[in-house]
Amino acid sequence: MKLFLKTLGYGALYIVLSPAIAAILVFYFIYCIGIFLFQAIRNTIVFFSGGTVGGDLAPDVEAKKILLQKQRDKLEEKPEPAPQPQQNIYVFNGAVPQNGFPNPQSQNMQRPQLDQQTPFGIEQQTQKQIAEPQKEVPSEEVVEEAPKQNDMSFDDALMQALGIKSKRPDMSDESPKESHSMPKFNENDFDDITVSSEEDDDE
Amino acid sequence: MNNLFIIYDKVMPEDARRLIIYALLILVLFIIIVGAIGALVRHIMKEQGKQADGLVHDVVVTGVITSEKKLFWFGVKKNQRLFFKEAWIPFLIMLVSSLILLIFCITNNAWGKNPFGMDQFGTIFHHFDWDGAKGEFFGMWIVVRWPEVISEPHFSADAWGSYIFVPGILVGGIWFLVDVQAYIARDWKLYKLSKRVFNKTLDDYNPNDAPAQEANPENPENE
Repeated sequence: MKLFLKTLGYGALYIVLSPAIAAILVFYFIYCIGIFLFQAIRNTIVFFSGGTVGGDLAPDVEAKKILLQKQRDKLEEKPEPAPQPQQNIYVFNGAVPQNGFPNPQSQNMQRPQLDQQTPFGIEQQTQKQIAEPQKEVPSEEVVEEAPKQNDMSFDDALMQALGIKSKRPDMSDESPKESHSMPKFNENDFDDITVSSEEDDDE
Repeated sequence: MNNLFIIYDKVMPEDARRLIIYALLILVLFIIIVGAIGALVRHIMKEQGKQADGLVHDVVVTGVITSEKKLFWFGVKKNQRLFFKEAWIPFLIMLVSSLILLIFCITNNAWGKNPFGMDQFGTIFHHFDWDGAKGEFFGMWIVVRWPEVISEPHFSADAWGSYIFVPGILVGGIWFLVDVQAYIARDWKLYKLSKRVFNKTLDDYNPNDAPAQEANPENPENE
């Protein structure tokens, strides 16, 4: 209803003011013909005197210079940083891999703060976040034996299980550079284990 | 007011009442159509006026122009150049059409003929005998029967100039008028911009909100 009345009001206003609107239009029509003829003569003179017909005015040229200078300053201020090499270091403290796979429920498991996460959920830590300096494990070292308790990371264990060679830097000076070996079991280790008989299972 | 109602209800015949109602409806419809056309023209002019922002954007943002007057006159100069770029085609069409009419008038000695008349451009339309179709209807002299056809559409060799001049001048004239409307819209937008951009108002200023800033030195251009 509001729109209807608004349109009605504007319509009535335009009808009443139509002579004035027509007079303004006629005036501007004649004025614009004059502008057009003036611009045509000016452009003809500029063209034949060797100038650019659609050229910029003096303030436009100045503004373009300032904008160009600003762009150049921006490029000079922020040079692109050189890409730093990333070393994927797998940090994992704890978890005894009994059968080549880590025990995620181990209390010694400490997950470091994540920097990135691979699609398979293996946590990585870039060199930046490691406080202590890392030493690279020489590539000649081959992991032959199973790791000992509190000595191998989860990812190292997984990779060992899958048969992939990995580099593991030493976390501390005290960490021994020992080759990892499978835990050795004695005959007495299984004395506490009782095996249920088939009769019990049937019950 | 009561007397008018009594006259309408008791004295006026049924046909006259219906005529008044129809006339009022047509009047309201006409006003609404004019209002809608006006709203459309307003909307188009608003869109055309937005071009004015692009004309003066760089000089305002970079601080090359810092006064209201200079901004308006710089904008008007740019507006005139843009108008010339837009309007040269319709102007050329009108010019060529006028030249053809001039040649037609010289060759056919048709200086006194109206190019829009029945014997010129009007030859391509039907012509009816409206005077013969009129009759008296309740005291009014209006068309009461179907008019007779005076002439069928045909081309005349004596009117070849008007066949080129009339369409050319109509197309070129309407196109030029639209460009004139755009020029007016941009001029008006430039006027409003120049008032707004460099308008120093303290209406929304609250000293508790904004931190203290150093006062800017006055621009010597404004003096």
